[in-house]
Amino acid sequence: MTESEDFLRATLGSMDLVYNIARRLVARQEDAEDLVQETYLAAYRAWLDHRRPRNVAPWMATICLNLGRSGFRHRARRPLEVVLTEDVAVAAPHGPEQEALSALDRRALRRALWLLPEEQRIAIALVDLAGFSTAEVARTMGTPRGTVLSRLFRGRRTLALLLESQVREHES
Amino acid sequence: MISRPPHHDPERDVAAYIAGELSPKGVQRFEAHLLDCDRCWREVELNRSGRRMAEWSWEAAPAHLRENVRAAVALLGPGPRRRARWRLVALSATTLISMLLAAVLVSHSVSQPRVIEAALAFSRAPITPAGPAERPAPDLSAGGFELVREGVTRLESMPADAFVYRGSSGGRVVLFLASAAFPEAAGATEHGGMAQGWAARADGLFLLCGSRPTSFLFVGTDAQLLRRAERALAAARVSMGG
Repeated sequence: MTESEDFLRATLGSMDLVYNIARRLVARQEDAEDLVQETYLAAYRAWLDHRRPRNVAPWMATICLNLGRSGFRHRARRPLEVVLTEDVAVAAPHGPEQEALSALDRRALRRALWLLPEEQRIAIALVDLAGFSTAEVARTMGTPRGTVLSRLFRGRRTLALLLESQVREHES
Repeated sequence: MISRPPHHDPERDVAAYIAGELSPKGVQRFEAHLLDCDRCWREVELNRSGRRMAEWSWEAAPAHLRENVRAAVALLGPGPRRRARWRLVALSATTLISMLLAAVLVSHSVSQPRVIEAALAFSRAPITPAGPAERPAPDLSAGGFELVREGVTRLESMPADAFVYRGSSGGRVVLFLASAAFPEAAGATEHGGMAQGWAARADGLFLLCGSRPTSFLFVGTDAQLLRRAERALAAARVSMGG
Protein backbone atom coordinates (compact mmCIF):
# COMPACT_ATOMS: atom_id res chain seq x y z
CA MET A 1 0.00 0.00 0.00
CA THR A 2 1.36 3.44 -0.91
CA GLU A 3 1.73 6.33 1.53
CA SER A 4 -1.16 8.20 -0.04
CA GLU A 5 -3.46 5.15 0.08
CA ASP A 6 -2.48 4.57 3.69
CA PHE A 7 -3.16 8.23 4.49
CA LEU A 8 -6.53 8.30 2.71
CA ARG A 9 -7.63 5.05 4.35
CA ALA A 10 -6.88 6.53 7.77
CA THR A 11 -8.39 9.98 7.17
CA LEU A 12 -11.28 9.82 4.69
CA GLY A 13 -13.63 8.60 7.44
CA SER A 14 -13.19 12.02 9.06
CA MET A 15 -14.26 13.96 5.98
CA ASP A 16 -17.82 14.72 7.14
CA LEU A 17 -16.41 15.93 10.43
CA VAL A 18 -13.82 18.20 8.79
CA TYR A 19 -16.44 19.49 6.35
CA ASN A 20 -18.83 20.39 9.17
CA ILE A 21 -16.11 22.27 11.04
CA ALA A 22 -15.10 24.06 7.83
CA ARG A 23 -18.74 25.03 7.21
CA ARG A 24 -18.74 26.79 10.58
CA LEU A 25 -15.46 28.57 9.97
CA VAL A 26 -16.11 30.02 6.51
CA ALA A 27 -19.37 31.23 5.10
CA ARG A 28 -19.59 29.93 1.57
CA GLN A 29 -19.83 26.25 0.68
CA GLU A 30 -17.13 26.60 -2.01
CA ASP A 31 -14.75 28.13 0.52
CA ALA A 32 -15.53 25.38 3.01
CA GLU A 33 -14.67 22.80 0.34
CA ASP A 34 -11.38 24.59 -0.34
CA LEU A 35 -10.63 24.60 3.38
CA VAL A 36 -11.30 20.85 3.60
CA GLN A 37 -8.95 20.28 0.70
CA GLU A 38 -6.23 22.44 2.29
CA THR A 39 -6.72 20.55 5.55
CA TYR A 40 -6.15 17.21 3.82
CA LEU A 41 -3.07 18.51 2.01
CA ALA A 42 -1.56 19.91 5.23
CA ALA A 43 -2.33 16.64 7.00
CA TYR A 44 -0.78 14.62 4.16
CA ARG A 45 2.41 16.71 4.29
CA ALA A 46 2.62 16.03 8.02
CA TRP A 47 1.91 12.34 7.34
CA LEU A 48 4.80 12.16 4.85
CA ASP A 49 6.94 13.82 7.51
CA HIS A 50 6.03 10.90 9.82
CA ARG A 51 3.87 13.00 12.10
CA ARG A 52 1.06 10.45 12.40
CA PRO A 53 -1.49 10.68 15.17
CA ARG A 54 -2.92 7.79 17.12
CA ASN A 55 -6.27 9.46 16.94
CA VAL A 56 -7.02 10.82 13.49
CA ALA A 57 -10.31 12.71 13.99
CA PRO A 58 -9.11 15.27 16.60
CA TRP A 59 -5.89 15.72 14.61
CA MET A 60 -7.79 16.55 11.41
CA ALA A 61 -10.18 18.80 13.35
CA THR A 62 -7.25 20.73 14.85
CA ILE A 63 -5.57 21.22 11.47
CA CYS A 64 -8.82 22.47 9.96
CA LEU A 65 -9.42 24.78 12.89
CA ASN A 66 -5.91 26.22 12.77
CA LEU A 67 -6.01 26.74 9.01
CA GLY A 68 -9.45 28.28 9.22
CA ARG A 69 -8.41 30.68 11.96
CA SER A 70 -5.04 31.60 10.49
CA GLY A 71 -6.12 33.64 7.58
CA PHE A 72 -7.89 31.19 5.30
CA ARG A 73 -11.03 33.25 5.62
CA HIS A 74 -9.28 36.38 4.42
CA ARG A 75 -8.74 34.59 1.14
CA ALA A 76 -12.33 33.39 0.98
CA ARG A 77 -13.90 34.63 -2.18
CA ARG A 78 -17.32 36.02 -1.42
CA PRO A 79 -19.07 37.86 1.42
CA LEU A 80 -21.13 36.24 4.19
CA GLU A 81 -24.48 37.68 3.14
CA VAL A 82 -24.69 35.34 0.16
CA VAL A 83 -24.42 32.21 2.24
CA LEU A 84 -27.40 33.04 4.41
CA THR A 85 -29.67 32.35 1.50
CA GLU A 86 -28.24 28.87 0.95
CA ASP A 87 -30.32 25.82 1.65
CA VAL A 88 -28.62 23.04 3.61
CA ALA A 89 -29.32 19.34 3.93
CA VAL A 90 -30.14 18.31 7.49
CA ALA A 91 -30.44 14.83 8.99
CA ALA A 92 -33.58 12.69 8.79
CA PRO A 93 -36.14 13.18 11.58
CA HIS A 94 -37.05 10.84 14.46
CA GLY A 95 -40.02 11.40 16.75
CA PRO A 96 -42.42 14.31 17.10
CA GLU A 97 -39.89 16.85 18.44
CA GLN A 98 -37.43 16.04 15.71
CA GLU A 99 -40.22 16.26 13.12
CA ALA A 100 -40.84 19.77 14.38
CA LEU A 101 -37.13 20.52 14.24
CA SER A 102 -36.78 19.22 10.73
CA ALA A 103 -39.65 21.44 9.66
CA LEU A 104 -37.64 24.46 10.79
CA ASP A 105 -36.71 26.81 8.05
CA ARG A 106 -33.26 25.49 7.20
CA ARG A 107 -32.06 28.90 6.24
CA ALA A 108 -33.14 30.13 9.67
CA LEU A 109 -31.11 27.37 11.32
CA ARG A 110 -28.03 28.28 9.34
CA ARG A 111 -28.57 32.00 9.90
CA ALA A 112 -28.95 31.44 13.65
CA LEU A 113 -25.69 29.46 13.75
CA TRP A 114 -23.89 32.30 11.99
CA LEU A 115 -25.30 34.82 14.46
CA LEU A 116 -23.35 33.11 17.25
CA PRO A 117 -19.88 34.41 18.07
CA GLU A 118 -17.31 32.28 16.26
CA GLU A 119 -15.86 30.71 19.41
CA GLN A 120 -19.33 29.55 20.50
CA ARG A 121 -20.10 28.20 17.02
CA ILE A 122 -16.85 26.23 16.96
CA ALA A 123 -17.31 24.86 20.50
CA ILE A 124 -20.79 23.65 19.53
CA ALA A 125 -19.48 22.09 16.30
CA LEU A 126 -16.72 20.21 18.09
CA VAL A 127 -18.79 18.96 21.05
CA ASP A 128 -22.34 18.57 19.71
CA LEU A 129 -21.52 17.59 16.14
CA ALA A 130 -18.11 15.96 16.35
CA GLY A 131 -18.64 14.35 19.77
CA PHE A 132 -15.37 15.52 21.32
CA SER A 133 -15.14 15.91 25.07
CA THR A 134 -14.84 19.44 26.44
CA ALA A 135 -11.30 18.57 27.63
CA GLU A 136 -10.31 17.66 24.04
CA VAL A 137 -11.88 20.85 22.72
CA ALA A 138 -10.06 22.89 25.38
CA ARG A 139 -6.76 21.43 24.14
CA THR A 140 -7.69 21.99 20.48
CA MET A 141 -8.82 25.59 21.01
CA GLY A 142 -6.06 26.36 23.51
CA THR A 143 -8.46 27.57 26.21
CA PRO A 144 -9.36 26.37 29.73
CA ARG A 145 -12.12 23.75 29.90
CA GLY A 146 -14.29 26.18 31.89
CA THR A 147 -14.22 28.59 28.96
CA VAL A 148 -15.35 25.82 26.59
CA LEU A 149 -18.23 24.94 28.94
CA SER A 150 -19.24 28.59 29.11
CA ARG A 151 -19.14 28.96 25.30
CA LEU A 152 -21.23 25.83 24.90
CA PHE A 153 -23.77 27.01 27.43
CA ARG A 154 -24.16 30.44 25.85
CA GLY A 155 -24.13 29.19 22.28
CA ARG A 156 -26.76 26.48 22.80
CA ARG A 157 -28.90 28.87 24.82
CA THR A 158 -28.81 31.57 22.15
CA LEU A 159 -29.52 29.04 19.40
CA ALA A 160 -32.53 27.70 21.28
CA LEU A 161 -33.89 31.19 22.00
CA LEU A 162 -33.42 32.28 18.40
CA LEU A 163 -35.31 29.30 17.02
CA GLU A 164 -37.67 28.45 19.88
CA SER A 165 -40.67 30.29 18.49
CA GLN A 166 -40.36 28.54 15.13
CA VAL A 167 -40.23 25.09 16.74
CA ARG A 168 -43.28 25.93 18.87
CA GLU A 169 -45.19 27.09 15.81
CA HIS A 170 -44.45 23.80 14.01
CA GLU A 171 -45.38 21.74 17.10
CA SER A 172 -48.76 23.47 17.55
CA MET B 1 -34.57 26.42 50.40
CA ILE B 2 -32.80 25.56 47.16
CA SER B 3 -30.20 22.79 47.43
CA ARG B 4 -27.05 23.75 45.59
CA PRO B 5 -24.19 21.47 44.53
CA PRO B 6 -20.93 22.62 46.14
CA HIS B 7 -19.31 25.54 44.21
CA HIS B 8 -22.46 25.85 42.08
CA ASP B 9 -21.80 27.57 38.75
CA PRO B 10 -24.93 27.28 36.55
CA GLU B 11 -23.09 27.83 33.23
CA ARG B 12 -20.45 25.18 33.86
CA ASP B 13 -22.77 22.75 35.64
CA VAL B 14 -25.47 22.86 32.95
CA ALA B 15 -22.97 22.61 30.08
CA ALA B 16 -21.08 19.71 31.72
CA TYR B 17 -24.37 17.97 32.56
CA ILE B 18 -25.65 18.24 28.97
CA ALA B 19 -22.27 17.09 27.63
CA GLY B 20 -22.53 14.02 29.93
CA GLU B 21 -19.32 14.98 31.69
CA LEU B 22 -20.41 15.17 35.32
CA SER B 23 -19.37 12.28 37.56
CA PRO B 24 -22.17 9.90 38.63
CA LYS B 25 -22.22 11.65 42.04
CA GLY B 26 -22.19 15.03 40.30
CA VAL B 27 -25.17 13.99 38.16
CA GLN B 28 -27.06 12.84 41.26
CA ARG B 29 -26.35 16.12 43.07
CA PHE B 30 -27.19 18.27 40.07
CA GLU B 31 -30.44 16.43 39.33
CA ALA B 32 -31.49 16.86 42.96
CA HIS B 33 -30.72 20.56 42.62
CA LEU B 34 -32.74 20.77 39.38
CA LEU B 35 -35.88 19.73 41.21
CA ASP B 36 -35.60 22.85 43.38
CA CYS B 37 -34.19 25.39 40.99
CA ASP B 38 -36.45 26.76 38.26
CA ARG B 39 -33.64 28.77 36.70
CA CYS B 40 -31.32 25.80 36.23
CA TRP B 41 -34.24 23.65 35.02
CA ARG B 42 -35.03 26.24 32.33
CA GLU B 43 -31.36 26.51 31.38
CA VAL B 44 -31.10 22.72 31.02
CA GLU B 45 -34.16 22.71 28.77
CA LEU B 46 -32.78 25.55 26.63
CA ASN B 47 -29.37 23.89 26.36
CA ARG B 48 -30.91 20.53 25.39
CA SER B 49 -32.98 22.25 22.77
CA GLY B 50 -29.98 24.21 21.45
CA ARG B 51 -27.89 21.04 21.25
CA ARG B 52 -30.60 19.26 19.24
CA MET B 53 -30.79 22.17 16.83
CA ALA B 54 -27.02 22.09 16.44
CA GLU B 55 -27.20 18.34 15.76
CA TRP B 56 -29.75 18.87 13.00
CA SER B 57 -27.37 21.22 11.25
CA TRP B 58 -25.01 18.30 10.46
CA GLU B 59 -24.28 18.11 6.72
CA ALA B 60 -22.73 15.31 4.72
CA ALA B 61 -19.69 16.35 2.69
CA PRO B 62 -20.51 16.53 -1.04
CA ALA B 63 -19.55 13.34 -2.89
CA HIS B 64 -17.27 15.19 -5.32
CA LEU B 65 -15.17 16.55 -2.43
CA ARG B 66 -13.86 13.07 -1.62
CA GLU B 67 -12.67 12.67 -5.22
CA ASN B 68 -11.14 16.17 -5.22
CA VAL B 69 -9.18 15.31 -2.07
CA ARG B 70 -7.99 12.00 -3.56
CA ALA B 71 -6.81 13.82 -6.66
CA ALA B 72 -5.10 16.60 -4.68
CA VAL B 73 -3.26 14.09 -2.47
CA ALA B 74 -2.18 12.09 -5.53
CA LEU B 75 -0.80 15.29 -7.09
CA LEU B 76 1.31 15.98 -4.02
CA GLY B 77 3.20 12.71 -4.59
CA PRO B 78 5.40 10.74 -2.20
CA GLY B 79 7.15 13.74 -0.56
CA PRO B 80 10.74 15.04 -0.52
CA ARG B 81 13.51 12.44 -0.34
CA ARG B 82 16.34 14.63 0.90
CA ARG B 83 14.99 14.71 4.41
CA ALA B 84 14.97 10.93 4.62
CA ARG B 85 18.75 10.65 4.90
CA TRP B 86 18.91 13.26 7.63
CA ARG B 87 16.12 11.47 9.44
CA LEU B 88 18.03 8.19 9.19
CA VAL B 89 21.09 9.76 10.82
CA ALA B 90 19.00 11.22 13.58
CA LEU B 91 17.32 7.88 14.05
CA SER B 92 20.68 6.10 14.46
CA ALA B 93 21.76 8.60 17.08
CA THR B 94 18.68 7.93 19.11
CA THR B 95 18.57 4.15 18.71
CA LEU B 96 19.41 3.50 22.33
CA ILE B 97 16.64 5.78 23.59
CA SER B 98 14.21 4.29 21.10
CA MET B 99 14.98 0.77 22.29
CA LEU B 100 14.41 1.79 25.90
CA LEU B 101 11.10 3.41 24.99
CA ALA B 102 9.99 0.64 22.63
CA ALA B 103 8.41 -1.56 25.26
CA VAL B 104 6.36 1.34 26.60
CA LEU B 105 5.31 2.55 23.15
CA VAL B 106 4.29 -0.90 21.95
CA SER B 107 1.94 -1.30 24.87
CA HIS B 108 0.24 1.98 23.88
CA SER B 109 0.08 1.54 20.12
CA VAL B 110 -1.79 -1.72 19.71
CA SER B 111 -3.50 -1.62 16.35
CA GLN B 112 -7.14 -2.61 16.21
CA PRO B 113 -8.92 -4.75 13.62
CA ARG B 114 -10.15 -2.50 10.81
CA VAL B 115 -13.81 -3.08 11.66
CA ILE B 116 -13.13 -1.88 15.20
CA GLU B 117 -11.11 1.11 13.93
CA ALA B 118 -14.07 2.02 11.70
CA ALA B 119 -16.52 1.66 14.60
CA LEU B 120 -14.31 3.92 16.75
CA ALA B 121 -14.06 6.51 13.96
CA PHE B 122 -17.83 6.45 13.45
CA SER B 123 -18.44 6.85 17.18
CA ARG B 124 -16.08 9.81 17.44
CA ALA B 125 -17.76 11.67 14.61
CA PRO B 126 -20.93 9.95 13.42
CA ILE B 127 -20.69 9.71 9.66
CA THR B 128 -23.88 10.36 7.76
CA PRO B 129 -25.38 6.90 7.22
CA ALA B 130 -25.63 5.60 3.67
CA GLY B 131 -29.33 4.82 4.05
CA PRO B 132 -32.06 3.84 6.52
CA ALA B 133 -31.31 1.11 9.07
CA GLU B 134 -32.44 -2.39 8.11
CA ARG B 135 -33.43 -3.33 11.65
CA PRO B 136 -35.88 -1.44 13.87
CA ALA B 137 -34.15 0.79 16.40
CA PRO B 138 -34.01 -0.97 19.78
CA ASP B 139 -36.01 0.99 22.35
CA LEU B 140 -33.53 1.78 25.12
CA SER B 141 -35.82 4.24 26.90
CA ALA B 142 -35.91 1.91 29.93
CA GLY B 143 -32.31 2.97 30.51
CA GLY B 144 -33.11 6.63 29.89
CA PHE B 145 -31.74 6.66 26.34
CA GLU B 146 -33.19 8.67 23.49
CA LEU B 147 -32.49 7.78 19.86
CA VAL B 148 -30.93 10.70 17.97
CA ARG B 149 -29.74 9.20 14.68
CA GLU B 150 -29.86 5.88 12.84
CA GLY B 151 -28.88 4.38 9.53
CA VAL B 152 -27.02 1.66 7.72
CA THR B 153 -23.27 1.98 7.41
CA ARG B 154 -20.19 -0.07 6.48
CA LEU B 155 -17.55 -0.72 9.06
CA GLU B 156 -14.71 -1.28 6.63
CA SER B 157 -16.25 -4.20 4.66
CA MET B 158 -18.84 -5.17 7.27
CA PRO B 159 -22.42 -3.88 6.82
CA ALA B 160 -24.03 -2.79 10.08
CA ASP B 161 -26.92 -0.73 11.39
CA ALA B 162 -25.79 2.18 13.54
CA PHE B 163 -27.98 3.77 16.21
CA VAL B 164 -26.83 6.85 18.11
CA TYR B 165 -28.46 7.38 21.54
CA ARG B 166 -28.20 10.07 24.18
CA GLY B 167 -28.44 9.18 27.86
CA SER B 168 -30.59 11.30 30.19
CA SER B 169 -27.51 13.21 31.34
CA GLY B 170 -26.36 13.82 27.77
CA GLY B 171 -23.70 11.10 27.29
CA ARG B 172 -23.66 9.57 23.81
CA VAL B 173 -23.69 5.85 23.05
CA VAL B 174 -23.46 4.26 19.61
CA LEU B 175 -24.96 0.81 19.06
CA PHE B 176 -23.95 -1.26 16.02
CA LEU B 177 -26.00 -4.32 15.03
CA ALA B 178 -24.71 -6.74 12.43
CA SER B 179 -25.43 -10.19 11.05
CA ALA B 180 -21.82 -11.34 11.45
CA ALA B 181 -19.80 -11.36 14.66
CA PHE B 182 -17.64 -8.30 15.38
CA PRO B 183 -13.92 -9.06 15.54
CA GLU B 184 -12.49 -8.88 19.04
CA ALA B 185 -10.75 -5.61 19.86
CA ALA B 186 -7.08 -5.72 20.81
CA GLY B 187 -6.71 -5.83 24.58
CA ALA B 188 -10.30 -7.06 25.08
CA THR B 189 -11.26 -8.89 28.23
CA GLU B 190 -14.09 -11.33 28.72
CA HIS B 191 -17.31 -9.56 29.63
CA GLY B 192 -19.48 -11.40 32.10
CA GLY B 193 -22.62 -9.40 31.32
CA MET B 194 -25.87 -10.72 29.95
CA ALA B 195 -24.55 -11.07 26.43
CA GLN B 196 -21.37 -13.02 27.25
CA GLY B 197 -19.05 -11.06 25.03
CA TRP B 198 -15.98 -8.89 25.48
CA ALA B 199 -15.16 -5.41 26.72
CA ALA B 200 -12.25 -3.20 25.74
CA ARG B 201 -10.91 0.32 25.86
CA ALA B 202 -9.30 1.99 22.83
CA ASP B 203 -8.50 5.59 21.89
CA GLY B 204 -10.28 6.89 24.97
CA LEU B 205 -13.50 5.06 24.11
CA PHE B 206 -15.08 2.00 25.72
CA LEU B 207 -16.41 -0.95 23.71
CA LEU B 208 -18.86 -3.59 24.81
CA CYS B 209 -19.64 -6.47 22.48
CA GLY B 210 -22.01 -9.43 22.62
CA SER B 211 -23.74 -11.92 20.38
CA ARG B 212 -27.14 -12.49 21.97
CA PRO B 213 -29.79 -12.18 20.63
CA THR B 214 -27.82 -10.82 17.69
CA SER B 215 -24.33 -9.52 17.16
CA PHE B 216 -24.02 -6.07 18.79
CA LEU B 217 -21.32 -3.57 19.68
CA PHE B 218 -21.71 -0.57 21.97
CA VAL B 219 -19.18 2.27 21.82
CA GLY B 220 -19.09 5.30 24.11
CA THR B 221 -17.01 7.45 26.41
CA ASP B 222 -18.50 6.17 29.67
CA ALA B 223 -18.20 2.50 30.70
CA GLN B 224 -21.08 2.79 33.19
CA LEU B 225 -23.34 4.25 30.52
CA LEU B 226 -22.51 1.34 28.19
CA ARG B 227 -23.45 -1.19 30.87
CA ARG B 228 -26.74 0.64 31.42
CA ALA B 229 -27.37 0.61 27.66
CA GLU B 230 -26.62 -3.11 27.52
CA ARG B 231 -29.13 -3.79 30.29
CA ALA B 232 -31.72 -1.67 28.45
CA LEU B 233 -31.04 -3.61 25.24
CA ALA B 234 -31.57 -6.91 27.05
CA ALA B 235 -34.81 -5.56 28.51
CA ALA B 236 -36.02 -4.25 25.16
CA ARG B 237 -36.09 -7.72 23.61
CA VAL B 238 -36.89 -6.19 20.27
CA SER B 239 -36.91 -8.29 17.15
CA MET B 240 -33.28 -8.02 16.16
CA GLY B 241 -33.26 -10.61 13.40
CA GLY B 242 -29.81 -11.22 11.97
